[in-house]
Amino acid sequence: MHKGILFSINPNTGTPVFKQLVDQTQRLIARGQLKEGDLLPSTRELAKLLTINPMTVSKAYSQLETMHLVTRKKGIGMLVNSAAELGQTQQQLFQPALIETCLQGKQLGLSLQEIKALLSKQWRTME
Amino acid sequence: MNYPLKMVDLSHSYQGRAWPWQQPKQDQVLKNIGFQLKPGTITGLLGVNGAGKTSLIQCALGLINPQQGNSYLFGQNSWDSDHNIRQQIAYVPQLFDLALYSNAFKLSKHWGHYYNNWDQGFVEKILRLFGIPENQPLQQLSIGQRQKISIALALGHRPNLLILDEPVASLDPLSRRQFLQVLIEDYWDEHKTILFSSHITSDIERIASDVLILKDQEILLHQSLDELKQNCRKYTLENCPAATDYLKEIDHKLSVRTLDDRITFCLTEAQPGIGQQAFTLTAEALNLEALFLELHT
Repeated sequence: MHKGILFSINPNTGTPVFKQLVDQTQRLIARGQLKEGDLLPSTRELAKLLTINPMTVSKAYSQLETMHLVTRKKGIGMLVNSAAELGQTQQQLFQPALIETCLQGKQLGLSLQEIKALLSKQWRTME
Repeated sequence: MNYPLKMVDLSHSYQGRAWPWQQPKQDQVLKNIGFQLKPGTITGLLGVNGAGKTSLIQCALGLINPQQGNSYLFGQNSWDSDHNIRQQIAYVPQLFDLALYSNAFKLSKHWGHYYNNWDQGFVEKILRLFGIPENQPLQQLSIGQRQKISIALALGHRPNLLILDEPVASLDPLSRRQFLQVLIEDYWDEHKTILFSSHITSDIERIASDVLILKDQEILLHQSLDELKQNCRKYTLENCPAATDYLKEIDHKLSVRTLDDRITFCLTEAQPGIGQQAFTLTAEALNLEALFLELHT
């Protein structure tokens, strides 16, 4: 299967596109959608698929390489390493989103109970 | 290093008077412009109407001889650059009007005679991709269709420097996406440099590596887009007495606003200590459009 379709980015936010790709790859590995030995799309392919600058994809891949999440194999491409390299659990990867949600809830004056209720309601709509 | 485009301390103004008996008036269009584009970069040129984008592009191309300073294309002065340099560049103007030709395909064949390494097949491929009719006279085509022809013609000799002045202003969302895809898939490689002005920040966010923002005829900012997004934050402070003193110590803050007991301001570069104070409420990351608006308030 072509792994490119696993990625989706939104260039129109405050998070740089390369950062979105790095974060997303981490999540895909944590979840097991990207497994050890899987081949990531080539820089050109992914850039084409997402209509983004190929240099942005290279930048993300280089960073993933530095994080030991992928290995560059000459003539083949980027291979995904074992999930053990993540060093972070799914729960740890969720932390930033959680902090943001709680912070915004607090700013809006919502109580913990209200946030919990909203969370369950939203969860159910996505099931 | 021979930069594809480099400007050094460039200033220009137009002189004119509305009536013969009036004193001539100087209208400054560019002020102390200095920057360079590295090979392989894609730079989005941003600025409000009248900020100087088109004048900057015209100086770059050698269509205007600046009163002060210089512009260089691959190391040669833009104003008297030779044939070899011109073979390496391409320009898509805001308005493309060559209605004399019977159709786009004929026009492209004539156009190709000016270039040594013209790829007619490539141009026709793009014209077809853009849905340009083969047998329709140019004057019957819409502004958007003419803009597409202009883009196709600019790519025919695979220029090393491509300069586009609002290339997508008249294009629909689908055509805009096609245009970006053509640039990425069929044209760009690490030896090609692109400078394009646009008001559509989401397009710039997709393909630009750098942004150059003009404000009041000067360069306000020239930076990598990733760095800008990582460093630029909009801060909101709750107005405790310490906050006002604290604010005085911060340099380069932009668009400071006060509403009731809140102060918001923007910083384009990370400063040590910011965000550590007890009274900092939020540090919000901005997309390019929000950032552009903050820079102009």
